[in-house]
Amino acid sequence: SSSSNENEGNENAGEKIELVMGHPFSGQHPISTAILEPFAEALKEESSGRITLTIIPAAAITSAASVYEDVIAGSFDIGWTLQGYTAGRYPLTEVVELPFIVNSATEGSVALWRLLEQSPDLQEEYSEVKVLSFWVTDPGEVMSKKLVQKPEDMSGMRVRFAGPMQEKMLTKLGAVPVGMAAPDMYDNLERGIIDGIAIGSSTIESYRLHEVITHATEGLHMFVSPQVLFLNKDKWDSLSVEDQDLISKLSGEYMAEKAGEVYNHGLDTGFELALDGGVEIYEVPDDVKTQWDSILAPIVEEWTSSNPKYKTAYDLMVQIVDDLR
Amino acid sequence: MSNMSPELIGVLGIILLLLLLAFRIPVGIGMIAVSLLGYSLIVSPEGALAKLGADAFVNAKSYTLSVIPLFVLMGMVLSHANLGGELYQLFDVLLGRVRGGMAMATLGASALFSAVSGSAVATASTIASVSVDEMRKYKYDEGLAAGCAAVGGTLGILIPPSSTLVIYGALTEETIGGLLIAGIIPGIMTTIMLMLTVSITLKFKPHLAPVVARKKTKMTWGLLKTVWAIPTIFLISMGGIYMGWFTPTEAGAVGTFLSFAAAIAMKRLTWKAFSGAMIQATRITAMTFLIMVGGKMFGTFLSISRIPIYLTTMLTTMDVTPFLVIMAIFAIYLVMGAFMDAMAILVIMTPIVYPIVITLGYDGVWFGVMTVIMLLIALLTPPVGVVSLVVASITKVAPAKVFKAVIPFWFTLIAAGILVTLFPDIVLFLPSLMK
Amino acid sequence: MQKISMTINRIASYISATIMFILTIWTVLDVAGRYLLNKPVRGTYEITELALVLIVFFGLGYAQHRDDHVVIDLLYTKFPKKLRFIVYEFGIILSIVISILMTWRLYLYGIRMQSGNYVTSVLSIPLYPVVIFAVIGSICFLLSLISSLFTFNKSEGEDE
Ligand code: NA
Ligand code: NA
Repeated sequence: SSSSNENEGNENAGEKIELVMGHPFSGQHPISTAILEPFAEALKEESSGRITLTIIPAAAITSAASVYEDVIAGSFDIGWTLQGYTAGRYPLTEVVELPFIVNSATEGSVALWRLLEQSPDLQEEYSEVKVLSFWVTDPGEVMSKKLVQKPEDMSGMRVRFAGPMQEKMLTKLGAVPVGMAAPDMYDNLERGIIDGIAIGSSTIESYRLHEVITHATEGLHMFVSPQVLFLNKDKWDSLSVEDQDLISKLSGEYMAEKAGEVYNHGLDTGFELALDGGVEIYEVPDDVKTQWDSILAPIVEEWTSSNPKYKTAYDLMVQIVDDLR
Repeated sequence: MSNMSPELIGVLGIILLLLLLAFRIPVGIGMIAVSLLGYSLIVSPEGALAKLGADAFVNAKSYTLSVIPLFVLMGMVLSHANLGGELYQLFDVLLGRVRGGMAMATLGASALFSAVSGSAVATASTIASVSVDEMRKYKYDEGLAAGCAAVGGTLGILIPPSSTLVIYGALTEETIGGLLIAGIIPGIMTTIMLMLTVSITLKFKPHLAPVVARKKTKMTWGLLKTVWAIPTIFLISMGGIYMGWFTPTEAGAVGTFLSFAAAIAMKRLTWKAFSGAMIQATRITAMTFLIMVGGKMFGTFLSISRIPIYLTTMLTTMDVTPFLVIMAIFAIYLVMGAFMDAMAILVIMTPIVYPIVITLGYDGVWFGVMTVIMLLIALLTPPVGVVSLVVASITKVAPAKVFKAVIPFWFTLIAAGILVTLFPDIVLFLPSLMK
Repeated sequence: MQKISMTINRIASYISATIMFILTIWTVLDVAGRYLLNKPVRGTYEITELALVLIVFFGLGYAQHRDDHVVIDLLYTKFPKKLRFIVYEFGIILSIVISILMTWRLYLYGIRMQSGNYVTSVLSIPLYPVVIFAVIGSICFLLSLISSLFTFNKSEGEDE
């Protein structure tokens, strides 16, 4: 880097570190403003200005399909993505997406981080990078242009999904899963190319979904979507132990919990916005919820039986969640 | 990596790119080369090369880009089916009695053909090949005749479908459907303004176009038997986007399918026309892709050089009115338009200017249409005025005559740009109704 | 050299055109299925994306043979012929360098796709074979560029 000369002769100041982060999400995304920007500020402050993090959002230097590969190749240092964007790449992480395994964004976020700490198999899945943090979205519900109460109502509906696990669920429910990037949801809903979305209500605000949906079904809790924040491994290894400790302190489980809270908060404001926007919200009563669950339940068994490693991870995850509750 | 600041590397990269382009390096290749070099210096050679592999694949695997071959094919099939001739005659019948009627008919036919053709060159060559000889017969000035065909052709990228708007959308992540629909009203407005320009020009220079009295009214019904296909295909495919029946890609496929069906029904689709249209569409798609990869990589290089951030901060602290900034951008595009191809300007300038425009509070869809209007001028302006040159070569009119005839229209297009800036609703009205 | 490259790339462009035609029909059927039977074809979105990769990479070489590049001719046409020759060859050589890098890096990217087990999300189609097709198309493009080294006269509008 260009500016290390200035600090010569001042041992304590250490080396200046300039980190660049790229991601495919909007710069106004709640995680961007509530987690990443504060993270950059805290890094700068606690390193007395030595560590700077420049965040370049909105796919300006990367894309959802390539952010992970870009960071591994060293095209920039830090990446943030939704694992569901690249099917097949993170099979074991899908454990957190299984139906009913976690109850909320905070629970899922912390649990997934602890799973990483405890599961060598999951560590293996991310062995090419230094994972800074994991978090998950608030639980997925159905946002639609028609009333959805029972699972039968999903039959033949064109529903947007992200990631293979959600695709499996929608297929089980008899819906027609349609893959598309999140920014296209608004347009495609509005123009009837899809009839609904399976997603957490926190996205209502970011994508102005309340303007284009007429109904929301609350309480299904079908899945959560994991996201990951990661750093180039060589870059990580090049950092001093103190700097590594600082970064770890500001990310990891601490960040996971905070990010989970962002989504929890988004969940509430999302439904409030929807109500204000005239969206009819159907709260699923327990007996109806059982009908949904019984259709989705086989997915757990199918998933865990497909690979012994999956079974191990699943059992470990269940135990971690139990400890959390 | 390097001792130079990223910003300086960015500026040097832009200069190097312009130099390479001046030496006739293909635009896509030049942008990839400069981005690789600049990215290597700012980050690392390995990081730069890895991006090349990923970007080449990811940009080809793009649902957005899939619109382009279909839009190209749609117009190409109708052009190969010789529908241009009847389209022109129809407008000629409608406008024949007015002074300059045949010139206006050229513009009208171009506008309507634009509604099924995604490219300016395809539109211009389709209409030029049928209209200019007609006008020659009736003693029109051949510069005016060819000039109208060239100007009319540029409407091909303003009135949807438009591959230029699709590329803008792919570069900026703006909604493609919204961008396409946004082009309709400015397209119609510009067509009318261009027709008025003909009529005003002829007030001052009546000798350019004699009044011709002809007896053609009875032909109208015969013409309608074939000409109906174009507005119908437009209404179904672009109307389908507007109504929410299709995504733009689906609209392109449906439009192409209908074009094939119409051409077959009229017994005008020869094997040669069919395969010619198909192969040409693959060539255009491949080259567009190379430019897209270059454009994306160049955008990435600029972002990492922090030039857009730097420019944006500078402009917002300078406290100039947004309108002035837009007019300054307009002026820069005009100057570049003289020397560079429209596509090159689009992919080079959009990553630099788009963040500024957004920061100033302008709408991204609006700026897409504004960009196209600025590019229309570039397509016409000498010395590098692709559409003027294509029309000159098809019609065997001297390029200098075409360029000269285009001058009055040039002012009209500038006026259209200013109007659109002062009244953004001209652009945003239709997309806002989609919501 | 030129003949071989031309033949290969013409075949590639036919493949490209055929895929484009199939894609058109497929998309129309998908739309029809959606409205008439409420049964869209599963995975059309990703099929479109993968098809486009093939259309693009198999179309590149023939487009190069037909000299379809967007170039800026302004200064070039004013140069003396000797300088034009140098500039022409420089452009081709730079293009060759870029396309070698692109081919190589696409191949490495393909290996990453394979080892990372990347697939499409609805139909679970592995991505790496598609990348390998892109590599093949990229090699065809390279071939056409190499043969363009010898076509300066043709680019000048002269017969060889
Ligand atoms: Na058009
Ligand atoms: Na020009």
